[in-house]
Parts: sequence; C-alpha cells; structure tokens
Amino acid sequence: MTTPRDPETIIAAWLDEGPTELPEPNRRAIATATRTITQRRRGFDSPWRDPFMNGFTRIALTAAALVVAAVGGIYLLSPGQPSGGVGGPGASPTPSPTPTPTLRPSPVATEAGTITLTDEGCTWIGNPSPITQPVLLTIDVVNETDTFASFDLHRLTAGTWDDAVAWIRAEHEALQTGGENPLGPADFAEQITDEVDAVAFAQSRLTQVVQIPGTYGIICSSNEPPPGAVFGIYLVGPLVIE
Amino acid sequence: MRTRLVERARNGDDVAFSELVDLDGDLCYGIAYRILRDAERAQDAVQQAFLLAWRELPRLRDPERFSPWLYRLLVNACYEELRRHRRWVSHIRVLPVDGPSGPDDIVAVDDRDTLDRAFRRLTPEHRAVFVLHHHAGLPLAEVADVVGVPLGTVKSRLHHATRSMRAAIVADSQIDSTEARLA
Repeated sequence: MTTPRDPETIIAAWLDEGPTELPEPNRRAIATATRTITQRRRGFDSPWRDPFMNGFTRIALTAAALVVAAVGGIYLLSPGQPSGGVGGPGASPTPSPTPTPTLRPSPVATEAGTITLTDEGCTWIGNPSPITQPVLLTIDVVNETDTFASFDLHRLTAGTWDDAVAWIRAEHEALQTGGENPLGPADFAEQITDEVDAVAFAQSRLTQVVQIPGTYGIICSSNEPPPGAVFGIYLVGPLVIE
Repeated sequence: MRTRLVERARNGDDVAFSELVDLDGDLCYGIAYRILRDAERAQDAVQQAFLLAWRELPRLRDPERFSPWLYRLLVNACYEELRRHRRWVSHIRVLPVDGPSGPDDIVAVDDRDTLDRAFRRLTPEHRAVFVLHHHAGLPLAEVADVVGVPLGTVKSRLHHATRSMRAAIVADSQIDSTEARLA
C-alpha cells in the first residue's frame, strides 16, 4: 500500500535542495574584476566619443561606419545604378560602362537624430522636416533599458500615421495586460531595415538608404533576445521622405 | 545600510560593492542554480550579473531598487547561459539509483529525477518565474518587476510551471500505485 503524497511538499523540498552559498573563489573573482572594470558614466554621450563604450557597441559602430563608407562609395562610383539599399542586388562597386544621359542624384547623408528607448517609452529627438530622397539616413539608437531592444525602420503602406500610432499603442497595451504579441505583425507597414538590435544599456546605429517617398516610422521594442517575448512596443516618427 | 552601500558603490567604491556581493551573492547563486540546475553555469551567471551591475551601477537612478535590478541582470544572465548551452544539451535521462532512500529524505530519488526532467522541459522564462516566487519568495508583483513582464504574464507562467511540475509528480505516483497493485 502506498501513502498518499503531497506534490506541493515534494516540489518545495526539491526546490530547497542544492547549494546555497556562493563559493569563495567566485567572490574573489568578482572582487578582482571590479578593480579592473571601469564603471560607466551616468547618461549617454555621442557613442563615438564615449571612452567607456563596450565591445559590442564599438564593433557595431565600426560596422556601421564601414557600411556608410561602402554605400557612399558605391553611389559615388555608380550614380546611374538603381540600388535596393545596403548590399542590395542593384549596387555595384564598378562604374557603369554605359553612361546614362540622366544621372540619378547620390543620396545625401542625413543625420536623423537619436531614438532613445527607456522603461517609460521611446522618444525621437530629430528634425521633423520632410527629407528629400534619395537619402542615406543614419539614426542613433540608444537602449537605456536593462533588456534587449530592437529598432526597425518601417514605411507606411496603408492608412494614416495616426492609424499606425493607434495600432502600436493597442499592441503595447495588450502586452501590458498579459498578452504576448497579441495583435501579430503589422499589416499596414513594410519593414525596411533588418532589426537593429542593442543589448541592455548599449547604443547602436540604424543606417539605411531610402529612395521611396513616403511616411516612415521606427518601431522600437524592448524584448528578450529574439525570438523571445516582447515587453513593450512603441512607434516614433514620422519621418517624411519626399 | 544596503542603500548606503549602493550609493558608495555607485560612486566607484569597490569595497562597498564587495559588501553587496557578500550580502546578495548567496541568494543570487541559489536563484541561478535553481534556474539553471548546474553549479558551474550558475557561478558564471552570478559573476556575469555582478560584473554588469558594477559597470552599470552609476546609471541606476534609485539605489532602493538595487535588488530587483540585480535580480533582473541575474535572470538575464541565466537566460543567456541557457541559450548558449541549449545546442549542446542532449536528452540525457538520469537513471534512478537503486535502493531505498533514507527515512529523512522528503524527495525520493525517483521524484527528484521526475522533477528534474519536468523542470528542464520548462522554458527559461517559466523557470525564472517559478524559482523567483517559490524559492526566493518574491511576491508576484516583484517577480513581474524583475522579469519585466506584466503581472498577468507572470501569473500565467507560474500557473503553467506549477501545473507541469505537479502533473509530473502525480503521474509518477499513479504509475507507482498501479505497479503496487499489480505486485
């Protein structure tokens, strides 16, 4: 005959098993490391001037700078070539052998401000005036949360900017009340950039050649590293490309 | 006292930070071990969390929130450990050791094996909520604060995790009683 067993008691006892003290070598390792790791300063400066920039950010910024240089070079060398954007199939580093009678203007590099994601929301500080295409947009993105963050440039394909804002707000509110991606992917916008990600407390840069006129926005989200759950989602903009 | 230590550490005092490690290290290790079920990886996660905490401490606006902030860094470090090692994890079944367990053992070897397997099937997010609430004793609102999801999501994750663990034990008990009847 077996005695009835209480699952709660068994689970609680099982959970209590195991080590409870951090081994001394780990404490010493932490103490040693703190003497050699420089603390970050409060607030964020321009990332390329931050002497305490972490390795991830440094690599990301170096890559972004290389992309900017490469894209600029490609456009300078082949002004008549249509291009799908960074690394797009239309781009070619060699000049066109057949000069076209009308030269497409080279994209003008435009700093479109800074987007900052915090626990309270996402803000964009930049010039809201319309920008003439083609444009090489660069936007600094700053993640001030202690979770992973993603920033994506989208172009509206249906509805108005206010519709998009309302949809994202509804998505965010649904997330706050317990849903996980409750409304699903946006069907009113086309994602232009691959996700530009920033780990906790890091900065990165969104760089994109934009040649199609329209209304653009950046969707910022705090999330677990992809494909993890999304905690908060926001839309900032609009950037109007004429 | 803790707030004062946090303020000193925030201003670069590594001795104060070491005291914080002394105060919180054991609980952090206990949490990490129970989420990861592996001592070495738990030690790595704790080190990772404390070093990130040291580096980012000047940005912590409210020193009173040090503990939930540290736990969040710790949980994220555990997620990272689990993801990093996931590809190497094979489905190893822990074989029960023969022989009766001691009279004082509340958790029999079979139960331990059953619970270990049930727990390993949970996602990192479910594990974290389960451990923070049941082991660390954090109220659900604080768990939500630590893992950065709404309270409703925490409740749902906890419900799922608890149900899975309980179901594993109950199923095991039913097998035991069936075997006893047949014997």
